Amino acid sequence: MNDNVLKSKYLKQVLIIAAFSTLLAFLNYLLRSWVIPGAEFITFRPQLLIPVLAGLVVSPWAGGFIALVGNVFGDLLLGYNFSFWHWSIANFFIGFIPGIIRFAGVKTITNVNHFIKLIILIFVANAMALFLGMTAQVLIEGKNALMPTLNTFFLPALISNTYLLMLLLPPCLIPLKFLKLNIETRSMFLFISIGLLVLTLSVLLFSILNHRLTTQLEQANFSQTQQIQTHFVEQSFRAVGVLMLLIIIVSTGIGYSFSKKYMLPISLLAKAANNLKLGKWSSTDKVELKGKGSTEIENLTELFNNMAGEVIKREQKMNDEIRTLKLQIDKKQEEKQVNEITETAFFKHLEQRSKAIREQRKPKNNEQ
Amino acid sequence: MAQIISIHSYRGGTGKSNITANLAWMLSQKGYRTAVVDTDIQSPGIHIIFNVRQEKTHFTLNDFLWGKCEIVDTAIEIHNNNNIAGKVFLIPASTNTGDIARVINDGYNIELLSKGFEELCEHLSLDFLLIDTHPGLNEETLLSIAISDTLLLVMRPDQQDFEGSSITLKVADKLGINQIAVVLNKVPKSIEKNELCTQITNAYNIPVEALFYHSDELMILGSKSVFAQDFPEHEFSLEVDKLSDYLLNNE
Repeated sequence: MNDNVLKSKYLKQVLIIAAFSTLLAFLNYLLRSWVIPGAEFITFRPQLLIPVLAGLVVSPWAGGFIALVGNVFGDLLLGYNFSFWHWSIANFFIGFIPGIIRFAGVKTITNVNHFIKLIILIFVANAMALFLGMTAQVLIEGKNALMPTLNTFFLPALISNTYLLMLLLPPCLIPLKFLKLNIETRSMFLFISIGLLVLTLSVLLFSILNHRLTTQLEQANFSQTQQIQTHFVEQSFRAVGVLMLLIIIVSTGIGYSFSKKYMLPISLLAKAANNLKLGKWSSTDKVELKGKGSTEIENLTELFNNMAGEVIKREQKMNDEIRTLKLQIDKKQEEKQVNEITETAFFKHLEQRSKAIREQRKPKNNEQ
Repeated sequence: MAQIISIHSYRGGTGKSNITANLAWMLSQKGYRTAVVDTDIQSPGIHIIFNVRQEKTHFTLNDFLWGKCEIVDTAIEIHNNNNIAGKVFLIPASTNTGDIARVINDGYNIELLSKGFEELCEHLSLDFLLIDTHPGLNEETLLSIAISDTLLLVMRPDQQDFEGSSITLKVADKLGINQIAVVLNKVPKSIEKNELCTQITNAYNIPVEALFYHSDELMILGSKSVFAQDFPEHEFSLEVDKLSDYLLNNE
């Protein structure tokens, strides 16, 4: 029984690895032209998402093997044969390492700490894997290969991989229910996305421009070179300008909605809490969100309004009790106690004599 | 003719002795000869407010009740610097623990008390005799109330005093006391004065003649000297003045 379950589990993993490594290989082939400027063999590889996602959602091993097998197939398709085997091993770790987040106690990402762990693991995975690849290359080709490998393999791959993964991974994790959006993760997600969008767009822009410049220069004769270079500068300037404008518009919009959704309600709540503290809060007062806050903020606001209402009510009740003392007499009990006193022989005697004593004193004093 | 006034509270700690001492001083300031009898023999205390040391007392109320002396021998004149006709006399109870134990165990002839009061009024030519009673309704307290012209009922605005004072009132009513007034003491500042007075008056059908708010300075200074003498402008002193006027109008 247990054996069968285990077998079917392995079988499922093997099938997943086969399917997704094939997909990765084809994507490696199809996107072969997205070469990073100054790096002959390193391309932008958004397809790295596949092993990393598999590593996170299925298992680290699935992630690792998809990356390894997919890369080997891809190299075959591209005609590199097995000359980059060490980089394929490096890819294994890129797929494997993020998946170990489950051993750090993270099953789904629900708070900022989880998010930070994921970001760190993605960076560590790439840095470690690519460092391994570089070391292998230097061992194979000799000491002189160190700087070229660092500049044309290690750095371009590290930079493009981490940016792309950090940018693309969170949105893909949401539908997979691996990342749960709440007040903590949403703000983290928002800031990382803005930052990385800017970086990625800039890198993409420069690689496109670079690609065009290279091809134009290859086809041009000497006299045209000057003109092409001037044109390149102008084009770059315009492109950067447009990009910046876009970034300003997007970040203004995001900043506006963020502060409206989170910051404004928080400052309203803080002011209200302070008023409550100072006793400047009446039972009819309420914190009202103009427009919609996030669910958490709306809940918090409602909670605050309820709490403030309760506090005021309790205070009012206490004040009322202090101001108008509810003094009551238990008539039955009182009668019993009065009788205990008045029914004694001493009291009866006193009752008879008291008037006489007082009367007796008065005329006596009056005579004086 | 001397007016005999019992100052009573159903429970202890109402500030009854304090009010008695201040009232006596206030009456003397207005030119009246006033004596204070400490009939709280089981737990005497008013002498402290008048700064009378036990060594200075020749005889105490206890000695009179045991037939050792005349009541007039026990009276101590409280010296005040003002050269006026008014005087305050104190008839202290013994603070000797043996004397206190003897009173509790053996008792004394209660009828002697009323005789003593009369003699005091006569021999000291008193205008007012204030009786600082023991809390509760024991025999000497009942006697003091029975022979009084006026009963001042000191109470705090709380449930226990409210119920207790009601019992005292029922008993005083049976004894045929005509003049009864409530003195509210240690009233929290947060309480609305008129509302409280109305509530008490409606419940007891007798007037509230003075209302003293609780104050820290009174708590600290009031138990070791006559507060109204030291701080004549304090709201407490003004209220004592008002209470003394009430007694004067009764005369």
